[in-house]
Amino acid sequence: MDYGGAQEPIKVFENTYQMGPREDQKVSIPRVHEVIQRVLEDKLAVTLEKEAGKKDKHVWNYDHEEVGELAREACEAIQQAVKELGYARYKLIVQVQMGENNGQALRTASRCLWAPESDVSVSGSFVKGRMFATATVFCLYHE
Amino acid sequence: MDELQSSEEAAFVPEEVQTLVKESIDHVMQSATYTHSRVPQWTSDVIENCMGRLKGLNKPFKYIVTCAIMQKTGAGLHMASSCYWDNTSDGSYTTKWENKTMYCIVSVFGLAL
Repeated sequence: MDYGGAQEPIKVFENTYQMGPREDQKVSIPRVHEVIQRVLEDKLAVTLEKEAGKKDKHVWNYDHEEVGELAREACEAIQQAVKELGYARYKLIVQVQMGENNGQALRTASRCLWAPESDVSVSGSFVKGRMFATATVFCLYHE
Repeated sequence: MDELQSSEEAAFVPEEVQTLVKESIDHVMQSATYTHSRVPQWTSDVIENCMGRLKGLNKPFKYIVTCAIMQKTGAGLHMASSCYWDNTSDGSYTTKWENKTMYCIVSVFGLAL
């Protein structure tokens, strides 16, 4: 159709009358958990290399910049993987903490002010050798 | 005109949250020394305090507040976060607090309704 120099017709969207996610559209916690564990193990694999012949000696030493990069990569990777799971209309927040395992304790807590019937948080952690990593994914439904 | 006003109000403003979070942490932690058994209580208190003040802002937002407390032993820690949201209306604010014996990191994420 030819509108000449006129503006495009205004698009009108009809209401879906949908207030929240349907049962099959809700985030599945075990699937997201599995994704988190898989990505964390992958990223930390480089830190677990052992010296040939010596059972307990690790080749890898804690390097501040390298771990910073690893944390950012893990974050992006988890976000991509959860997006690929395909939950429509969900906003995602991924938090990753990675550090050196030096015998210290770390406590992380979180509280959320959201809609409990549609929003969900999933966390996973991985400790091995010199490193620990924890990741938390918050999925919030948005109309 | 109405639409313009509502979009200004409905964006997450980190500066507003900044003072709020710092006050919460100072109020709870003050000059405490790291005590393993008290850490769960501290994390809960810091977060409850923050949440209470965030609710007091009366904005149409969903909030997520995360608090991590770690003892100072010379170990390194990295925190990263990545978010899939609407850049015009959602935002986050993270702050680090420390004293002689521990670190406390608090993150606030605000998502518009």
